[in-house]
Amino acid sequence: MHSIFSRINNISAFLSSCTMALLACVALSSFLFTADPKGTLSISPVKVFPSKTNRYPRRIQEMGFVNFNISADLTPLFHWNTKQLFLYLEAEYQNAQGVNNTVVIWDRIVRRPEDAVINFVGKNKYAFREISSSFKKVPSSYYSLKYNVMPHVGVLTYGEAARTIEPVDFVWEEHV
Amino acid sequence: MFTEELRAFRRLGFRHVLLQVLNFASVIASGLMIWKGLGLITNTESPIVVVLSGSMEPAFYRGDLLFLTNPASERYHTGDITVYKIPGADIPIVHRVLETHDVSKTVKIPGLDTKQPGDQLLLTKGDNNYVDDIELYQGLDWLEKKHIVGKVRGHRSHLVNIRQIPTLRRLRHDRDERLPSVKIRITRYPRPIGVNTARIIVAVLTRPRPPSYLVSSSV
Repeated sequence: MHSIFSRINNISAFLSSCTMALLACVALSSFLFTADPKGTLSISPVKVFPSKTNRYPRRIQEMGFVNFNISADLTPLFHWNTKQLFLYLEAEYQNAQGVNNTVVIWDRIVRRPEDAVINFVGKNKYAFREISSSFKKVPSSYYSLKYNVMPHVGVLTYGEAARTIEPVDFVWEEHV
Repeated sequence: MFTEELRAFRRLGFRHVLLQVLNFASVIASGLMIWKGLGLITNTESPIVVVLSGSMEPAFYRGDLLFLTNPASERYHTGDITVYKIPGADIPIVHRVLETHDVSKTVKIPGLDTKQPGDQLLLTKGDNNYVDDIELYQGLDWLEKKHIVGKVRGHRSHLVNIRQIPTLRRLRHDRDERLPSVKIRITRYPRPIGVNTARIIVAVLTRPRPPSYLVSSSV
């Protein structure tokens, strides 16, 4: 009854339930941190160029080129259970066929609070394309900077740090 | 060999042995019930999955546990991490949604059959990959609701580093490292084989294959 194995069994069972309880507490504790930092986002009119598709070399498709500025201080999102932030810039628009589209055009992984002060000037990282292959009947689109807080243990949370108030137009450049 | 054990069984009697069998069966059955019950609540075939690939690093490492839900009314948004399974592929893939296209009226999209209102077309990408997943879709242009196993809701970091367990090391030959072979198959026009292409072909032909019993994503 009181052999060494039953003692080891009891201790390890107790330890594992304690660990589970501790992990649950850590996961719950991240609900206490309700920071909602805001930043600014500015986008210049989006230039559209015809291009070839990757997959179908003979199909022509329009690509949008977005130049943007982001400035945001996201350090309040870092607490003891934050593993990393996944920041992404998203374009939202509705096309002529009534399809609501959201397209991620830029992202960044922030792993340290020191890097969470974002001052970024640049252009899109991922192709900005329309599924009907042309932006011709799309008047304009909205842009927003969103984040995903990824914990060590617990629930993934999402938020929005900045948004363009006015819609941003598409501009077709003349080609020679 | 088993004379001692047999003697012990004979001493305990037939009823006691039956009781032991019943106990054992009830342990297994309750485990199965918890697993299937979780699956019923979360509406996904495997509510808890283990990460097998490094394509979502540094968010998820190999060996991390992910908790999935997939309610029937679920909409997917950019930034969500989904687990999807392409028909014909044996391993489910954990990647982040890059594009969503919500259809609001009946529409014909090039390369697809007619889409009804409420349908959603998705494109995904692994955080650690440079390009989106279109090469992994095995000829599909978009992911749809029917391909999605679940959305990642919660996460627990690995307690044991899977890379340090020698017997599990072969799991590292996962989808991402198999990407070159997929690319070669999709190339449409014959091109002269350069040194790099030849090297990729050699690497693909000589790659070690994981034994089939190791490749599974559900716990």
